[in-house]
Amino acid sequence: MNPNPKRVVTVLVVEDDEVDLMAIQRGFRQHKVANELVCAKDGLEALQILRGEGGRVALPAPYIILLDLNMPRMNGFEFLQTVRQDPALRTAIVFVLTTSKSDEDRAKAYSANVAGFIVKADAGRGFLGAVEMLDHYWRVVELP
Amino acid sequence: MAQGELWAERACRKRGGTVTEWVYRRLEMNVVPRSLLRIFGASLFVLVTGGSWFYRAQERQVRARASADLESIARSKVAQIVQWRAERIGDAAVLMGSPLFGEAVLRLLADPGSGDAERIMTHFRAMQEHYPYRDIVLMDGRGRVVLRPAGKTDDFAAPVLRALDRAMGWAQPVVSDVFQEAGSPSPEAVVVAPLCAGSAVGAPFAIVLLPVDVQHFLYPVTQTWPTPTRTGEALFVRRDGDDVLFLNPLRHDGQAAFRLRIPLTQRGVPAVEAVLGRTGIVEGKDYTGTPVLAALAAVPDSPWFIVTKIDTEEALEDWRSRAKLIVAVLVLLAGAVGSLIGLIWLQRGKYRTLLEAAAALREREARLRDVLELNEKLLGAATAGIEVFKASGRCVMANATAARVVGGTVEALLRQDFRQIPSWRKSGLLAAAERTLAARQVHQIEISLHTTFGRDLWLDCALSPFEAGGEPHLLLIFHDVTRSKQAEALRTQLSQIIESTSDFVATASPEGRIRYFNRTARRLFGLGDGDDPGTHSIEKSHPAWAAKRVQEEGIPAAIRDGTWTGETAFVSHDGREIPHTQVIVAHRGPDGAVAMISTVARDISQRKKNEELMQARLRLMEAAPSVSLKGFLQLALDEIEARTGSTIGFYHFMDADQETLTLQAWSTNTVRHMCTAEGQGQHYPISKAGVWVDCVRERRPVIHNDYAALAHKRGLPAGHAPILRQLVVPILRGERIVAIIGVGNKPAGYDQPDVEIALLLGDFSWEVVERKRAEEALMVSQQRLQLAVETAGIGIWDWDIGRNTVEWDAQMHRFYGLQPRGDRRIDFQQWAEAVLPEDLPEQLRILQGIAHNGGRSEREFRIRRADNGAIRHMQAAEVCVTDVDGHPVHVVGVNLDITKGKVEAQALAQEAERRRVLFEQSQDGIVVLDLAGEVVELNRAFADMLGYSVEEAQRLCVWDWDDQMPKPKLLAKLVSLAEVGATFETRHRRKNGQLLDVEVSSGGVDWRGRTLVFAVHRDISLRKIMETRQHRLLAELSRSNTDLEQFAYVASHDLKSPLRAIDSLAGWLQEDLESVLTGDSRKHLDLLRQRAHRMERLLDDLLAYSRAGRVPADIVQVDVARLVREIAEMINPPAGFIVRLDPPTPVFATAVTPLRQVLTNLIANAIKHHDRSAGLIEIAVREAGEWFEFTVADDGPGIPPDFHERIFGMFQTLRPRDEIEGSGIGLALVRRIVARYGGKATVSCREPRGSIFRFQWPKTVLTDESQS
Repeated sequence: MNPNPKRVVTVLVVEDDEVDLMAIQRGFRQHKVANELVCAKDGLEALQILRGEGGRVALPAPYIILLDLNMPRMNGFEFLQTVRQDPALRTAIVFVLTTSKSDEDRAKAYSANVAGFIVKADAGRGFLGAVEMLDHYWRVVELP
Repeated sequence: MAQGELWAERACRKRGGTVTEWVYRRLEMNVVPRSLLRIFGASLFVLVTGGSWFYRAQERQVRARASADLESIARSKVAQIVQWRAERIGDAAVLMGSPLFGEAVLRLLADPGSGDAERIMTHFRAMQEHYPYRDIVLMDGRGRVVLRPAGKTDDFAAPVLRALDRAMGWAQPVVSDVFQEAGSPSPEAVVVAPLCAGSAVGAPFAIVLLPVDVQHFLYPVTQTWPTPTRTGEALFVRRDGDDVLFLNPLRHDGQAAFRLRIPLTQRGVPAVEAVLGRTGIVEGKDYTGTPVLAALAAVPDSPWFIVTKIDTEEALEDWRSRAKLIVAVLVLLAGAVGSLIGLIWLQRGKYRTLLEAAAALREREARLRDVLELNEKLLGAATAGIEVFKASGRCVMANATAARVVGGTVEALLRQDFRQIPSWRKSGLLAAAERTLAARQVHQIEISLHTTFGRDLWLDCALSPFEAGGEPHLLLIFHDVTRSKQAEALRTQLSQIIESTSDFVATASPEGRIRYFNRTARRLFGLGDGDDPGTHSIEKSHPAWAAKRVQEEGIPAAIRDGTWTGETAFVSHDGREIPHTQVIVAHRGPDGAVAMISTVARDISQRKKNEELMQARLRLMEAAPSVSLKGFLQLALDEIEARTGSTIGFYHFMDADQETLTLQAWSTNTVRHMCTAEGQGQHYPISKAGVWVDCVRERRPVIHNDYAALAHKRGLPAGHAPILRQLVVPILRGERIVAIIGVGNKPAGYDQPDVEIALLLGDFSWEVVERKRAEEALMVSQQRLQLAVETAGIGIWDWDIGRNTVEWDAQMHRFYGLQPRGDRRIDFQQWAEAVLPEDLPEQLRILQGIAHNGGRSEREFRIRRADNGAIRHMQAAEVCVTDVDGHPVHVVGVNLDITKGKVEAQALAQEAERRRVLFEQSQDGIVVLDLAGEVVELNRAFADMLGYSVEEAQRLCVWDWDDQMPKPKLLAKLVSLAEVGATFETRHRRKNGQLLDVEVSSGGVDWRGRTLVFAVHRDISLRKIMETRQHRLLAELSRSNTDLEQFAYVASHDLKSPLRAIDSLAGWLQEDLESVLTGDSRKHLDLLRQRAHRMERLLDDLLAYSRAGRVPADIVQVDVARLVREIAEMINPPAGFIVRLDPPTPVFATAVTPLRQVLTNLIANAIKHHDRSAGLIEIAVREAGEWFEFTVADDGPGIPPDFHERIFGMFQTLRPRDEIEGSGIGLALVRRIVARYGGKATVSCREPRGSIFRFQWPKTVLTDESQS
C-alpha cells in the first residue's frame, strides 16, 4: 500500500472509433472510476499530448495509455515504436486494446513491452472487465 | 643192167620201194595171181551190181518226178476246164435270171414281129463283149427255133440235143459236149440256158442256146504245156461207143480231133485206160505206139478225160544220158586198170631183172647203213667234238658232242662253211686249217673263241687232212678245255689273292716245316720275296704262349676236326707282339693222310683297340642317363685318360661367340691328385689363354710332347699341376668349335692313335652332352607344358592312326566325365557318343580330313558329359604328325572347355544386343564424345533431337549444338564430366537454329584406353514450358492468396468494428431506457443486438474459413484424446450432453490448429443441432493405411440423406438462423480444411437416430511449399 496519498492516474485513450471511446467512458462511469480520461484520435495526437506539443501541456505522470492498433495517420505500432524510442516516454505503461485477435499483433505488441494486450470483444460486457482490472491495477502497481 | 640198177637205185631212194617191190615179187610168177584176178573180178562185180542198183534207183526217182509233173499238169488242165464251164454256166444263169431278157423273150414268143428281137440281140451283144459267144439261138418251150443267126439251120448236132434235153429236164444251164459239125471250121460247144418263168421249176418257156468256139479257149488249154517239151502233150478225150475219141488236135496228128479213135480193147494205151476209168499214172504205149508215161484225169460232170502224157524216153532222157556217162566212166576205169595189169604182165620179164638188182643194192645199202650207224654211234659217243669238212669248206659231218660244245645243233653245224665262220678266223683256227690242208699235215692248236652260237670256249683242236671220195677233206677233233683253262686262271688269281692279302697266310708240312709265306707273312718276319720260308719256323713266328697254343692245341685240333680257330699272336721282325686271330686247316691227300697244314691269321690289334674304344663308349653311354652333365664329362675325361695313358684331363665348352672357353670339368685323377686350381665355371678368353688353346687357333688337334720347350707358353696358374706333355683336341660341329678336350702327362709321347682316341671319344661325349642338354631342355619344356596345360585346364589327346588307338590325359577324362583306364586309352566310340548328334558329322569329317591329308585344324563342338549329362562347349585343335615320307602317323590335339567363356560370350552378346536395342530404341538422345569434343557414337534419337540425319550428326562436335559457353570451357567441362558425372539442364541448338531445352545426364567412361564422355539428353522443352507456367500460376496463386488474406483480415476487422459499435450502442440504449421501453421496443433492441452478433459471428467464421488451411500450421505431437478433452471443455456443452472418446486414439505429429478447428466445429454442431436436452457425442479414430479416419457420431435428429451434400455448402443451414444460430460455414470449413490435407469429409445416417460425420486425416502431414 502506497504510503503517499495516491496520485491520481490519468488514462490516455488512443482510439479512433467514437463508439469504442464511448464504451470505455461508459465503462469507467459505471465502475465509478473518477480518474481523468484524456482522448487522442490517433498516434500523432497522442504524442502531441504526451509531449505537450501544439499548445498543450504535456500529460503529467502518472498515466497509463490505452492504445488501439488500427488508427489512421499513425497506427498503434508506430506510436508504440516512437514511444519506446523516446527517452521521456519510454517507460510508459501501455495497454493495447484492440479488435484484433491476431497472434502476430499480440506478439508484436509484447515485444514492444506493452503491459497487456486486451481484445475488445473478449473484454466482457462493455469494457467493464478491463476497467475493473485497470482500477485494480493502478491501485496495486507502482507506476514509474 | 646199169640202167636198171640206176633206176632201181633211184626208185629205192624215192620210195623205200615197198609197193613196187611187192609188185615185182608177184611178177616173178608168170601167172597173174588169182588173188589179183579175184579182186579184180570181185570189184568188178561189186561195181556192176552196185552201179545197176544205183542206176535203177535213180531211174525210179526220175520217173516219179516226171509222173508228178504230169499229174499236176493234168490236174491244172482239168481245173481250168471246170472253171471255164462254170463261167459259161454262170453266164447262162445270169441270162436266165435277167427279167428284162425274160420279158423280151416272152414278148418275142408272143409276137415274133415285135422289136424284141433287137432287144435280145442287144442283150446278147452285151454278153458277147465279155465272152465271144458265136451267136445266139432262141427256142421256145417246145423246141421251136424262134431266133436264129443268119444262115443257120434248125438242125442241131446230137450233143446239142442231148444238152437241150438235160437243160429242159433239169431247168438248169448246161454246157454241151464238144463237137464238130461237118462243114464247120472249128469244133464248138453250146451253152444251153433254159428260161423259166419266175424261179419255179417247171418247163421252161424258152431256151437260149449260145454256141462257143472251143478253139477259143478249150483247145489252148489242152494244147499248151507248162514246160518246154518234145513229146509232152495233153489229150482231151471222150468215150464214143467202144472207142476213145480224141477231141483235140494232137502233136503227131493235127487232124486227130474228132477223128482219131482207138478201140477200148487196146489196153495199154493211156487214153483207153483213162476212158475206162483209171486215174493216176500209167505207163503204156500211146496212139503212135511210143512208150509213154501218162497221167490220167477225168473232168467231173462231163464225159471228158484229160490225159497228160510224155514219152518215157523223154522223161528219162536226162537220166539216161547221165547214166550212160557214169557207166562209160566206170568201164573206162575198169579198162584202164585192166590195161595196166596187162601192161605190167607184159613187162614182167624186164622187171624181174630190175628186182634182182634192187635186192642186191638193198643189201649193200643195209651194210653201208650199219657201218654208218656204227660210225655215228662212235662219233656220238666220242667225248671230243668231231667235224668233217670238205676242202671247199662245207661241213659234211658233225657229231653230237661237237654240237653240244659249241652250243648249237648238228643241223646247224652241217650248214656251216668253215671259211665263213668268223670265230674260226678270229681265233686262228682258220689259219691252222688252211695250213693243215696245204701241208697235208696234222696240226694241233689251242684256241679261245666265241662260237657262232654264243659260247665262249677254250678248245684244244687237232686238224688232220684225209681223202674221201677223191676230194680232200679236213677232220677236226676238238676238246673243250674251257674248264681246265678257267681253273688254271682261277688258280693263278687265287695265288695272287693269297699273296697280296693283308692277312697272314702260310702253309707248312704236317711236321711243321714251313713251305710258303705270303707277302704279309714275309713282311712281318722281315723275309725277302726270294727267301726260303723253310728257314723260319712256327716257334720263331709266335711268342711262347702263342706258339704253345698253336702246337699243342691248334694243329692237333685241325688235324682232328679239319679246322681250328683261335686268338694268338705273332712276333714281328722288330720284336713286337701283334695279336692275331688264327685259323689252321689240315689238308688231306687223296690217301686220307694229312698232306699239308695251312694257316690264315688276321691282325686284330686295331680291332682290339676298337673294341676297347667301343667298350669305353658303351660304358659312357650306360652311365650317361644316371649322371649329371658334369659327372658325365668327368667320366668321359677319365676314359680318354685311360685309353691314352694320360694322368690329367680337362673339358672346356666353347661359347657361341667362339671367343671364350668355359671350364666344365677336370678328370677324376686331376681333381684328386693334381690340380688344386679352381674348377668348373671359369672363363678363359682365347686371346688371353695359353698354349693349351692352340688347337682352337689352328682348328686341329695339337700335340705338345715337350711342354717345357714350348716358346709361347704362358705359364700355369698357381695350384696347377706341372705339365710335361699334352694333347688337346677340338670338337667341331660344322664350322664351329663347340668344345676342347685336353689330356696330358702320358709317360710316352702322344701319337696319332692317341689323337684318334681322343677325337673319337671326345666327339662321342659331345653327342651325349648335346643329348643331355636336349633332354634337359625337353624336360624343362615338358614341365612348362605340363604347368601351362594344368593351369589352362587343357586336355591332350593322341591318336595313333596306324594302330587306331586314342590316348587321353587325365584332364580329357575329366572334361568328359569319364574314368581313365590304366592304359589311358579311350574307345573312339565313347568320344563319338559324348558329342552332340548335331555336331558329330562335321567333327568326324574334319578328323578324317586331318588323318588323310595332314595339316592342322581348329574346331568347336558341344558334348554331353557322361557323369552328369551337362552340355559343355568344347574347343579343339589338332595337328597331324607325319613320318619322313609325309604319311600321317599321329594326330595330336587338345580340347578346351570353353563353356564358361561361351556362356559368358553368349550372355555378353545378348547383353550387348539388348544394350544396342536400348541404345537405338531409346527415346532419349544418347551421344558419346571424346575429350576433343567429337562425336564417337550416337543414337538416332539424338540426331532427330537436333534435327540432323544420323550421318550428319556423326560428323558433329559438341560446340555445334552447345553454345552456352565458349569452346575451351566446353572442353574443360567435358574433362570434368569425364571425371565426375553430373546431371544438368542446358540449351542445345538444333540444325535449324532453334534452341532446345534439354536435361543432360552425363558421365565419363573408359573404353579401350580412351576416356570418353557419354551424355543422355532428354528434351525438356515441354517440361520447361510447364514449369514456367506453373511458376506463373503459383506466383499468381500466392499473390491472390496474399490478397485474399489481406482482404479477409481487413474485411473482418473493418467490418466488425461498426458491428460492435452497433451492438454497444444498442446495449447502452437498453440499459439507459430500460424503464421507458415498451415490450416491443425492448424486443426490437434485442433483435437489433442479436443481428449484430450474428453478423459478427458470420464475419469471424468467414475470416476463419478464408484462412482455413492457408496458414502454415505448426506440426506438433498431438494427443488426440487430450485435444478432444480441451475442445469439449472449451465448448462447454450443456449438462446432459456427454462427449465421449472411444479408445484407442492415436498420438501423432500433425497440424494441430486445423485439426482442432475441424473437431471443434463437428462437436459443436452435434451439440447445437441436437433436439433433445441430453445426448451422446461419440468420437472415434480408426487407422486406414496412411490415414486416420475420425468419426463424430451423435444421437440427434439426424440429417435426411437429401441434404447430406448440401450441408457442406457455404452458408447452408438446415434450420432457420433464428432457430439455431449458425453462420452455415462450419461444415464448409470442415470440408475445406480436410480437403486441404487430402482427406474427405462425409456424413451418413445413424441407426436408430443421429448422424455420423467422418473425415480422413493424414498420418503424416507434409509441409507445403506452394503455400508460401
